[in-house]
Amino acid sequence: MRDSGSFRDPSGFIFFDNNILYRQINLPYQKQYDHLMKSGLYEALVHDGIFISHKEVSYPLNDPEAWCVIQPQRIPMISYPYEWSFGAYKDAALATLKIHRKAIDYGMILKDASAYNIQFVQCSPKLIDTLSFDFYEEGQPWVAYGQFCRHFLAPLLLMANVDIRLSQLMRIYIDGIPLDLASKLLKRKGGFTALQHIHWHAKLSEKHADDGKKQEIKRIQPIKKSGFIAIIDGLIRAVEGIRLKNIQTEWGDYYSETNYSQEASKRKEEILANWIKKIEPQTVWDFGANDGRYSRIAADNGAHVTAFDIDPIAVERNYQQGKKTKTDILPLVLDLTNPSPAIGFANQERSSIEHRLQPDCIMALALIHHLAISNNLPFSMISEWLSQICKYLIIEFVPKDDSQVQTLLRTRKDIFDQYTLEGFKAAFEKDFSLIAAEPITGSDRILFLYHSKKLKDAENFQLNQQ
Amino acid sequence: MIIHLDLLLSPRNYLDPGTGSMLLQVIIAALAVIGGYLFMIRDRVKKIFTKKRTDETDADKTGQEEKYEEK
Repeated sequence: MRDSGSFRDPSGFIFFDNNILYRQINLPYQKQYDHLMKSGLYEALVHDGIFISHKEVSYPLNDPEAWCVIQPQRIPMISYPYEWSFGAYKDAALATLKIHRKAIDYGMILKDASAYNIQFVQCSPKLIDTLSFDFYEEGQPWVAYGQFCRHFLAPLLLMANVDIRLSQLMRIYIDGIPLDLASKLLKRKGGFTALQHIHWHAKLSEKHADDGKKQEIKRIQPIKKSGFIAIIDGLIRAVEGIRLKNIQTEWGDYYSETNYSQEASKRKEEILANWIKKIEPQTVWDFGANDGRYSRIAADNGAHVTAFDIDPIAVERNYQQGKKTKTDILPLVLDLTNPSPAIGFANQERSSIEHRLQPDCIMALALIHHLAISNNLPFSMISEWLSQICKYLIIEFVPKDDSQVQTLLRTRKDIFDQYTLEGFKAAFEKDFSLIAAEPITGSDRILFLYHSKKLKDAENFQLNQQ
Repeated sequence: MIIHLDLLLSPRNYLDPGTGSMLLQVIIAALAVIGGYLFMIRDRVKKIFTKKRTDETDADKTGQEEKYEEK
């Protein structure tokens, strides 16, 4: 079955067979692929850890366009740019530019610069599109320059100079943030980088938007190789220079402000470690992960962990920590009350979060009160959704008299009569079977380990790789 | 030399590169070359001063060590 997001480039496409991911390479791309493999570029990039590896496989081909099939390395969790933290986004941009720069040394370039071509393995960005390379021809400008500015530079400049949440614009604009919009939002911020690559770029693009209607063919000065390389080096310096200003969000210092005693905190970690060892999950989603303190317990026990949080600063801290420690955690920004939907043509190009992977286990620690009280979500709706997307659920019940819940209720009317331990258990035990429950000594909170009664067939889940 | 834009484009391109994006690259290529030289000069000057300072610090250290040895 062909991947619904793999249709733009006629050089080939991604498909699945028996839940194994393959990439078909079409005949017109044979020369480029051969050069990529034989020139040493493929090896150099894989060695640098910024390019996905693959193996050539013999696969029965019926398509007259087909030349060969490869089986790329599988990515544990597919993520999209609007879910990346600032640091992850910056690393993805730098990986793209460094691959493009290295390719020139081998007589090639990147013919596209889509942010969706970058995926993360732990906190390390990798180009996943083997067909992104083309031959460098002296004189030509970089065909993917506009795409790079829309997909990478505009979001990074907006996140750093206007508001970190503006990466969410990528969710609306699948081919990157329109440069005229980025220019309006940036105003005069972003320095010389924004002036060149966003403001001038937007103005010039607008001026030449209708060139297709004119009879005359546009003439241009060919760009020398030294100029071509200087643009890339300049872009690398520009991206390296984009820095997040020191800001603090509501969750930024959660762990220093939490009402947990040292004893309760230690007990929670012990229970969690025991349960993770018991259920041995291969994949874990940690919802409301904050800076990833509990995600690390799952990762230390051998799971591929995706650590979600609504707070971009907490996710950024988790990402920087993950880069240093090389733990198997991918931190992503996600609002659980409005999780990433399916987007693109026919709403099928980029999958919704729940259709990318069925995790073995979901952890929802110190989260239920935010969903039930801050967002008025009934326990039954939370339980039903979670039971459809995971096998095991580790969830923490936070009682109403807990100081964190009281803080939430201080500024609003308490309309939550159903928010009780009994109400919680009744709702969750309708969709889950109880395996274990442990009070967290030193607090009034309780941890529950559940097994879903509504498991979806794992074969219905396929990674959307491109 | 100025040539037709479409002569520069590979027939294999599947992206619309955008006329504005391509024309801008001519301008920023020139700026980037100049910028690259400036960065190179800055780095060289930095290196000279850093080296000088390191030499001075080493000399100071050596001098101090000698003094200590004398004591």
